[in-house]
Amino acid sequence: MRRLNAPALMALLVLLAMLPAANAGALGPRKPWFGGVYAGFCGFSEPTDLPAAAYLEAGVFVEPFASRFLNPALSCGLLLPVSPPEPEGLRLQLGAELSLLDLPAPFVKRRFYISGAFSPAVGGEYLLHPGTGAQSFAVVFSPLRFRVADAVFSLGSLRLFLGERGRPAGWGLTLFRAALFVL
Amino acid sequence: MGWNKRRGIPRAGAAGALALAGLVLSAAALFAPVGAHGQSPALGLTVSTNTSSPFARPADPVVPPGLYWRAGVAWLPGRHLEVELYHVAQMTPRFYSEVLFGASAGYWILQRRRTSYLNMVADAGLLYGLDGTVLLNLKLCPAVFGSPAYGSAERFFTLGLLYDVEGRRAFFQLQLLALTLYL
Repeated sequence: MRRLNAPALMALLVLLAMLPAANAGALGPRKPWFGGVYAGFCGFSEPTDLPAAAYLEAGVFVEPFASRFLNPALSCGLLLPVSPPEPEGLRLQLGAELSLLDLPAPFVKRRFYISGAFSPAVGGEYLLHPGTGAQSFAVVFSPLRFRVADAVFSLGSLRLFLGERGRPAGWGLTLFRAALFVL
Repeated sequence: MGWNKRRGIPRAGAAGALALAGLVLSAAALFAPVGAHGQSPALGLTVSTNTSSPFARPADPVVPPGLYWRAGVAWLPGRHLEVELYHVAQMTPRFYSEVLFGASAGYWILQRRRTSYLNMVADAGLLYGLDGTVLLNLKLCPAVFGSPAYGSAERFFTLGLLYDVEGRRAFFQLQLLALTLYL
């Protein structure tokens, strides 16, 4: 089987992710943003076969709708082991996320002087090593997730990796992730 | 910390309970009413990412690679000083398998006033591992946004040096993001 050209695939996905931005204006003032960039700090347990390290995740995302319930978003990016830098830990990252609901979070305004909403989410993530073709799939739970102005912040998101026949194959933890709408 | 290797999922234990207690305390601080802060001395709860890397990769690192977090309590007497008690724990690959306890004394370079929002902090401290490891720590945070008067403070790109007293080795340290909630 012919191996995928991972960098070209990545570039294509980034371009595809950015194409719909042209329609963002039609959504009206309630939804001025369409997509943006994200970055986070995460790590993985031993059974995931990812090297022990602190990882930086970064990429682009689109969230085309403004629904307060079951609002979907797609993302693609890179997972980079930064401490220590381990090349075998590099992964392409494709994700789909569903914001379950947006609830007013008055304590955010009390604490940070800006309105915010509590917005827990669930999702799935596909990871692919561009060289070896090693791949894995994880279900992502983000219980502490907040929408604040033009950003979405997640704390303590949990990844549950699934192996053969859906059996647990390790876990991952994102300490902090920020997604900023820029498109 | 118990560990179920077959499933790759940590079992609950004393360290897990400690982590959970810390998370609950942090969450409680987030919901706590804001109003008394700004008075001196102030008390805060701090959580942050914590990455440390040796300058040269040793065969037996004092701080094993992985994702670490740091959580503690800060006390801020006067307009410049800050005293902090905290712990640094490995989150992945083995949840709470490595724990260091630390104390530090910091100096806010600009005076903390009701209207001051930007600042820088330098601090010196000591970390003690349960296996007897002793590390000296020097840090500088060039970007502190907020203060006790605002109820919270975010710190970005804290750079530090860790020195292993017994092994006579130095480590580079980065705390990408830290959040302090003042009570």
